[in-house]
Amino acid sequence: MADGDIDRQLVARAQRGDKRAFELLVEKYHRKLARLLSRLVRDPAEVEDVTQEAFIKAYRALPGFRGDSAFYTWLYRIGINTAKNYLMAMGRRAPTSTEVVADDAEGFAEGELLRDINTPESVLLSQEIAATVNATMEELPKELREAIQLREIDGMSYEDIAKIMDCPIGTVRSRIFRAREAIAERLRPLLGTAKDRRW
Amino acid sequence: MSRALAGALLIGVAGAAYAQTTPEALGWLRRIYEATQKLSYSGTFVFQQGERAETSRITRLALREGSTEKLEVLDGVPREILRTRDEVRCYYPQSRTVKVDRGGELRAFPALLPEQIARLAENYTITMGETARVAGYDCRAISLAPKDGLRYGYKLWADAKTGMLLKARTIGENGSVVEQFTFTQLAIGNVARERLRPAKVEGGWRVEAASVTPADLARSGWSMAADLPGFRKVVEVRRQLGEARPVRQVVFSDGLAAVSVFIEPLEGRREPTRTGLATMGAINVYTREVANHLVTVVGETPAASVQRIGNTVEYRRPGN
Amino acid sequence: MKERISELMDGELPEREAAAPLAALRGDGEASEAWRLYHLIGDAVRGSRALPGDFTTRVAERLAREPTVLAPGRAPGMAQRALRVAMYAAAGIAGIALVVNLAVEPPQAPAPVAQAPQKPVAPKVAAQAPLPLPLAADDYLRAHQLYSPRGDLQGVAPYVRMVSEENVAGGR
Repeated sequence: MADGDIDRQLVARAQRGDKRAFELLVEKYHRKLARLLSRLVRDPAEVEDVTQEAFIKAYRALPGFRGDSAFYTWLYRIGINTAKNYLMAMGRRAPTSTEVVADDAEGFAEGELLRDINTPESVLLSQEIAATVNATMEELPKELREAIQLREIDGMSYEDIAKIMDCPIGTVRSRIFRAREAIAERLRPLLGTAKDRRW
Repeated sequence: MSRALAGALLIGVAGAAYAQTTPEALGWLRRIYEATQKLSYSGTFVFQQGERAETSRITRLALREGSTEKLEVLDGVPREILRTRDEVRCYYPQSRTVKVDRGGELRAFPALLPEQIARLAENYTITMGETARVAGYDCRAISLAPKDGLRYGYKLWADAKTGMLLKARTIGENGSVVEQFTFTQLAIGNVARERLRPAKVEGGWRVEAASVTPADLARSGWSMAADLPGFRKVVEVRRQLGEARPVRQVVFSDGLAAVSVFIEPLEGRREPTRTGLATMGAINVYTREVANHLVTVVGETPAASVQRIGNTVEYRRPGN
Repeated sequence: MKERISELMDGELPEREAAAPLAALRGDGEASEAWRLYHLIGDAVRGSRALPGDFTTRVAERLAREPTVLAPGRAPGMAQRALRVAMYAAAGIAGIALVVNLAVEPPQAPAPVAQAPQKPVAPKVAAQAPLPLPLAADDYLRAHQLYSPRGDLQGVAPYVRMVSEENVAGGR
């Protein structure tokens, strides 16, 4: 059972008319996609528009997604096309690049951000979020920190993490959850839960 | 060559490269249309759309006085279609129904006129693609990339020797394949007449035949999209649907894709109407109510086109 | 429930246990908040810092205005059966070509819309509920097909399309 399976489940639900399921995918991937598109579209405000447009296009194209590739790979291609079309409509060319490899979604490494894409209004708050996450991470007990890093940064399955950390899978599950909740506890006051707040 | 062919910008389907329609590709397209007109053949093809994959046997006998074609669908609902110059008969053994449609010849702008092929280049960028083997035939691919989002893109594979179309693919907005026809076995020429006999229809079968007459909708107060780029009106009729439901039908086409607008009175309809957009693979259907009539738009186009045309339908009482 | 969400998002929850968390995610409560926060944490841990926090809400607002897409799953046997029939019908090389085509070049498209229970739709608002094809969709489709220029390109083959899901599901 792999990470792709939750995507598959959500896609299947969205394809049966469940828009909320698609929103959950948006929640999951929007930062990752924006980060990618910021390599093509430099202006931070434009990145937001293009990313939003890409998701809407993906939604419309959803009936055509059959699960032969990973959802993010498919989304990635739609994102690239959306960005390129946007640039063309603006009379600009996409950066010809060795950096942006259009067809190699899986090989794309998270750390290669060329430029920060925060919009001015959200800079302060997002810096605070990042700082809070980092600070909490450092305060976590070692085994919780290691578990969540192996999961989130290295993308490993619980089974593999259990092998590396030499503990039962149930322990892995529990550690990852406790790490998340510890950080979430510190984030909640910053973000609030009311839908009409900007965060 | 018109200026529409020069400097054509390729967007959407083929990505960011700049390309233009080439005379070679137009020539191939012309060959395909001619082959479809002239050849006799018999074969098997698969139609794919989403998870739907249906195999059919198809046979065509081309004669000077007109051709006869037969389609037997081997999957899904059992059905057989027999098409001659004057009519199309659809046989449904399960419901013991034959549906007869006449009036196909009323369509203006048949494809073979040379100016029609050139007209396609106004809306599509037509270029040559790779070579490939399909069903044992050496084929060449021809791409038709849409110049806007109102229509799909297409990729066609034609036999190098005869121009016979072996494979056809409809391509959606983000490059995804919306539907595909692929021959898996094909024999060109030499078709025995007996193969084109229609299904046996004994007593107890219901026959639905629609009468079709040319119409002038403007005279009865209806107007719609004069301005959908690339689409021209090709047919305007009064006809019956199903069990003799009277309806007006207008068809717009860009030479490759068509959109039909159906207008029927709501009076006396027992079923509730559901308005909005529904999708069936490459075909989108948009319904709305206008002046106590139901407008149904059926298009082999992306949803935007059917919605756009549908939203322009207006009624003004004649004489005002 | 938050623990289930944590497992679910990692793809580590067996399918049979996913129903309850997925249902919980529909609402606005603890489960949805956990989904949102845990993904934010993951992105932050990876060094991502992009986009205002109401991005998803804004996309959701736009989604609400979109026609609901539908591509209901077909009976799994269907595609398999087509493959078998096609392989018997075709001979030799052509049969192999079919396998290649279906395996390597899967067209991606929605299957026809299934009959959904009727829901009243407010005329002003863009369709929210999944919209079934009109009654007697086949009749419209056939009347349309008569004039479609695809017939000039492909002969009578496009008529294979002219059957709505209503019929494929089980006869009229």
